Amino acid sequence: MTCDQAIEILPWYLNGTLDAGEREEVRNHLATCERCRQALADTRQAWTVFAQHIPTQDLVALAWGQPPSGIDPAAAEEHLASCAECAAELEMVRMSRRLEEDDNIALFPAGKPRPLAGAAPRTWRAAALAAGLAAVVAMGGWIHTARQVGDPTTQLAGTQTSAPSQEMQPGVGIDMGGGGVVRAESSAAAIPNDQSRVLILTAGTSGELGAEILDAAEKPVKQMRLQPGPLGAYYVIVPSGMKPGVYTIRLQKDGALLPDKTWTFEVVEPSPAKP
Amino acid sequence: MGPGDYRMLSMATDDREVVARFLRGETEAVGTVDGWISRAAWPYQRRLADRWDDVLQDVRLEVTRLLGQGKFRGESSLRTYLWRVVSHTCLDQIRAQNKWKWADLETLEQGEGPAGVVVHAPTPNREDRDLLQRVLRRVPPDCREMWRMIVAGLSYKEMSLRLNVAEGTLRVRVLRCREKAAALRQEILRPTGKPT
Repeated sequence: MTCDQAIEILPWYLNGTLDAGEREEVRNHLATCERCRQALADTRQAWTVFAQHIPTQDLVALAWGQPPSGIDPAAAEEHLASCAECAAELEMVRMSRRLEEDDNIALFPAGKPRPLAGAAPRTWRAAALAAGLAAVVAMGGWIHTARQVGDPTTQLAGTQTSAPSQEMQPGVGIDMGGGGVVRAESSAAAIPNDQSRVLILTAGTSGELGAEILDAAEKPVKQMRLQPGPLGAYYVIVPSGMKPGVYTIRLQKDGALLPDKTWTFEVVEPSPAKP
Repeated sequence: MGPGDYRMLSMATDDREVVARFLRGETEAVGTVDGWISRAAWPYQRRLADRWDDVLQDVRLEVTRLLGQGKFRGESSLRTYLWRVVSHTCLDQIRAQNKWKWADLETLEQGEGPAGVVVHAPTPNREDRDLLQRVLRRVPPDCREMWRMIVAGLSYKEMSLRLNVAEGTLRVRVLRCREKAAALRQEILRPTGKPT
């Protein structure tokens, strides 16, 4: 291997993608060539330049509408305009903030909490499921197609509710077994149907999907086409006014049901107004 | 605890009370905090893929540690505080996935290959970062694109296919970009030169 050949592939020597033979040749060459060792040092310096990204604390600050502290604000703005990676990360942080601020966005399914290590309370899992998923199931109204949803940012901003923001419902027990089925166990659970919701479905796939809504008698009541939105999820609006009962959402791809992608939810009359 | 108390808890009208109950292991407080964590962490789920459960667990442990050490001082709401912890932790984990493996010169001398040791580049301070950003802004966009592919771990064969460029041509272009970045860095650092 000549010096020129070795120097040209040093970037991939550093990222570990050379095949075993090339890597060995480069290593042997470097062991005896001072010039190429200097080139390796130069390559590492270049790497440091091109690996620059906005620090995570500054992405969080930007999502919060605050100026970054670890990087010049103008540089951050310019970097975001040219770095798809940082732009995507900022989008994730902004979505996270939106979820933090707006309980009217429901998630299907939520992450599955696990027991806390160490001195965790034994009720952690059950409590976490109840609390985490009580905020998930809140239904009311008809389901529109995802084509009508469009950009979730726009849609979420336009989502209105006629009742106070979602609270955890006392007595709601949620079972998340059977591959992602979310079910309200207690019919006494006061999940009002006078609120609209945006459902975010994590389908574990991509591309256009078919969605089917079934009533309790498994009679199809609605079919629709869904397009993936940002972050790869599928977005469905549920406006208020849905008839009380148990409904199921099933997803299909290319005419076949997606396994473990069925969500069952119960809609009940709203609670009487409190004095 | 009745429904009224539960509702009050969920609304987090008294964050310090929630923290105290959480640290005592009360079911509702633990559930409330975990519900907030799960919501805030949801957007990162896809990128973390099969590491999602482990990262979520890391977040819970970090939250427990911070609250146990009294780090939450009420400067923001507890929920916002947790959101920041979640975002920091998840972003750091996503970036850690992309950390490259490279060999340092000492290990090369000892016969260790790139796959044998993981060396993370030192985190630059603010001054260094500003310099690096200034260099980065001035290199041509195609250089940034090619080098970001390298940093992301693509082989030159993959890059050749993706960019529809012959492998030899690609390697030379990448080398020229490296030389360009070095020249720009020197130009900015030159005492008599005017930084842009």
